[in-house]
Amino acid sequence: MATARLDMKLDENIKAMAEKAAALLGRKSLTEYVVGLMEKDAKKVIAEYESMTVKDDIFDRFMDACKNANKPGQTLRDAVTFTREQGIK
Amino acid sequence: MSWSDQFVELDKSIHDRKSFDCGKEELNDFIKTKAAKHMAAGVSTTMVLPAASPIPGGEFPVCAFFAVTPTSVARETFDHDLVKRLPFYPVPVFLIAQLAVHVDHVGKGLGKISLIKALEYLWNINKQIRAFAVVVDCLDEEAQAFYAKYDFQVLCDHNGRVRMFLPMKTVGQLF
Repeated sequence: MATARLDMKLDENIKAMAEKAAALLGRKSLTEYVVGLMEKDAKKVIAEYESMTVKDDIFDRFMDACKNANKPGQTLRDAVTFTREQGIK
Repeated sequence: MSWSDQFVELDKSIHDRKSFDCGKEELNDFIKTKAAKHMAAGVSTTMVLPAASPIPGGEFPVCAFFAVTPTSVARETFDHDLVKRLPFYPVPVFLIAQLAVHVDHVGKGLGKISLIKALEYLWNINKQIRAFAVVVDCLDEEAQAFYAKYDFQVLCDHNGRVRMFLPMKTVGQLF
């Protein structure tokens, strides 16, 4: 595993608290504790951003609407014409 | 101040983001503090329509912008038979994460121009990376009314916002 360094400044009270938490959880070091937290949280944040889960009926209706898609309406087609007339590439 | 004739990728050395104001704090904050970071981290791509002429200092103000990213939709209950019939699962979609027009340009049709350019941009990406639909999160009722006018349908509530979609098959008939 390639490694990288992260230097950070933090409030000394937070550091003391984190050291206590790391000890309570039996982590070998503060680093191990922080890295574990970062990995867990980063995965969660990215997963929430990259995908969404919807209820079954919503999903099924969505798929049906995508397969049997409506033709674009007049307003939408007019907007395309308008954009072309404005000459925006 | 008139706009140039092309949406281009946001470049913080060329585009002035500080002067952007669409009247909505969240969107202003996005272009000022997040858009460039999101591009660098591969989170989303921001395309801007710069003004035709620069401000003193040489940077170009942003007249309008949109940010897009791929995402996907999954079903709460995994349906094995259904998923077998799908070419990709979770179902890939494109998200228009942000879209905003500077207050100086409101009422000139730049909102619909930005939307059409965003759809065209995504349609071109779709030739390489397939998606089933274009999805948007509506910041407020005004945004929801805007997208509804252009055939977007309500998908669901997502983090307290209405999420809407337009099938890619519909988009494909526009270009």
